Amino acid sequence: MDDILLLDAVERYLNGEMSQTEKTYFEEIRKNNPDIDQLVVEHTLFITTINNYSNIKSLKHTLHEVETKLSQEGIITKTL
Amino acid sequence: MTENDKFLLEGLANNDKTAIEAIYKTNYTSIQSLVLNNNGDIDDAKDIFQEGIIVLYEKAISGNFDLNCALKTYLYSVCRHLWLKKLQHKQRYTEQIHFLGEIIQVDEEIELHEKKNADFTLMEKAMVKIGEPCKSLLEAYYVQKKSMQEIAATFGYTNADNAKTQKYKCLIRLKKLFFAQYKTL
Repeated sequence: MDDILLLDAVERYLNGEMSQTEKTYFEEIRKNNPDIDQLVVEHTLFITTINNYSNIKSLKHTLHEVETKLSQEGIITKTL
Repeated sequence: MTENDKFLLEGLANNDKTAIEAIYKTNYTSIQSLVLNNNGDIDDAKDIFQEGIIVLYEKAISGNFDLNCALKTYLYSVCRHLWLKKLQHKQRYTEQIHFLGEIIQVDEEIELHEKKNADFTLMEKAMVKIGEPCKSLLEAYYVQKKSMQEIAATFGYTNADNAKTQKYKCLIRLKKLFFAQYKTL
């Protein structure tokens, strides 16, 4: 299977975007092909990591906004 | 742990600004005192507080809203632990340590956080290495959660399918960069 197609499949599988038929088919392919199974495991690990990265990146953005707001309001001291 | 604590934790898991602001308002001052009274400055206090919130966030998104103690105690314990580690690292450890708050054991959470934090740094480095337009394309999709349609319009692809193919090509490159760093650790 093409790397791009496989990545797309893994992503949709993880996001719960596959139909039941497609899901069954995908799981069947994994069972019968250890190489694909290995790639799925690797992709899953990677996509989980990029999702974590994205979540933390967004959180840091919000933290920065809140910190700036509270500093302006004098709730957080800027300097000693 | 109060109902309000649980509510705030759920808000934090959703990156909700109001919840985060409320957590800041009720906890920041005590964390700042903790850092200032133990060889740190304001910037250290801000950094430690942010990192503490990230640990709390990681706990919350794991689906575990039960801290077994008040949110305030949990956050204080995490920040205290993080600050102690930082002091040891900077070798600014003094004999007298002034910690007044009640604490609980958070070693496991911190350990998990450090692992995730290392992955975050590796991903950030890989994102820099990959360059443009891949970096912006991937961040538009994964961080800003934009649709492929919006991305196609922003970046000037003729259609969403082409943008999607490009996204996966970038992702494959990013994956190689990411794991290459992993292996050299």
